[in-house]
Amino acid sequence: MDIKRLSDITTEIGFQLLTSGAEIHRVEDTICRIAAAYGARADVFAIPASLVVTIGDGEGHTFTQTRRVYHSDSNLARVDALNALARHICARCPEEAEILAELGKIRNLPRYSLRQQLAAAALGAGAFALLFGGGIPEAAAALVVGVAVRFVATVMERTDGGSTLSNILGGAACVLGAGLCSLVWRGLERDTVIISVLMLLVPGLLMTNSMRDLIAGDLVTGVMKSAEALLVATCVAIGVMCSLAVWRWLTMGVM
Amino acid sequence: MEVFYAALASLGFGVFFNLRGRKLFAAAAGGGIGWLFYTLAAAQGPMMQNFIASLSITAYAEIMARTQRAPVPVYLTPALIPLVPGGSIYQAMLHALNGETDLFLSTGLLAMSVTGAIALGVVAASSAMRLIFLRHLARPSR
Repeated sequence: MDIKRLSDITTEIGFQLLTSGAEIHRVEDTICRIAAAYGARADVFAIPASLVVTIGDGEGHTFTQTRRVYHSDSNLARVDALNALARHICARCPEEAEILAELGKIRNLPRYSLRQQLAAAALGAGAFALLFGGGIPEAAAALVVGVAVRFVATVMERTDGGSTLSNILGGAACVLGAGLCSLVWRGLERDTVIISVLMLLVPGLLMTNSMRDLIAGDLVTGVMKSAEALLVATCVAIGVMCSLAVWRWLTMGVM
Repeated sequence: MEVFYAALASLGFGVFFNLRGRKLFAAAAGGGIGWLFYTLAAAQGPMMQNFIASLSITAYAEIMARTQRAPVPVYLTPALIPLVPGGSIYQAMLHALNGETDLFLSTGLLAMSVTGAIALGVVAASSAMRLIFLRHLARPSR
């Protein structure tokens, strides 16, 4: 394969990996391996916001491409499929058309429908309520509020509302939902419900991943992710605080 | 029973991460295994407890990844979810907004160290696995 095509394909695979939430190390490693399989040399620099790929054939021809990454999510099914494709490429060195066809398929991998995602949010929040020592009423409340919070997040995502506002509103939905549930069911452990549902929003995984990046030596990525985690946590907390204040005012401090 | 709840929580998050079928349930089982070790190590204090739990999860994820030929995060990411110190991060932020600086610092530090313990567990277990499976890696593929 000629070096321009190779540059296009490796960059696209790397970009797909990056936007699907693969680790930085995996993105860089995959591109280098694919290039090596075709006898070229790759230098890759990836951070969550950008990807730079330079491919050289060792005869004085080099190509550099950069891609800016604006949005990424955690789509592990896509990471899995891209990983399988990369293994296949390294083992067989297939033709360009075959790789492009596979990439097209991967891009159109099915996603869960909104209803399924809401059900998953309910399941997750309910399970956390039980895990945090809540009873059946807390779990039931977390189920309902979990759906509400996820719904807010999805609406914000579809209307491109930005993650800052989305997290503030999510935190608020969480507190107000739990408050309403405690009106219906007196004696509900409201804090258990709030913390369980907040597990859907709180950036714990982001913090863990940023620590892993820092330990692995990807310092820029680690610092970026920890800053993002701090921002998300602050937004969620602002949403929670404001809605707690409003709730206390509405119920005259009774609840 | 708690182990089952942890697995359910991982299952819910597995759906967010778009996992399907066998992989989804394998990842959820990882969440259960992690919580099992978490409760077994309850006497060791929060740091060790999280470290041991994330060690066990990573070992499970690495073994599954190698036998099922899938990338490690497929099994690792959803399984780590129940461990993550969401509660302390939330409380630290509440303290910060209430102006309770000392409480914010102590809770925040706890959350940070627990996160660090989890991350260290992952790194330690995956390096150990790499050493164990070195023979397989050394066998040249091309």
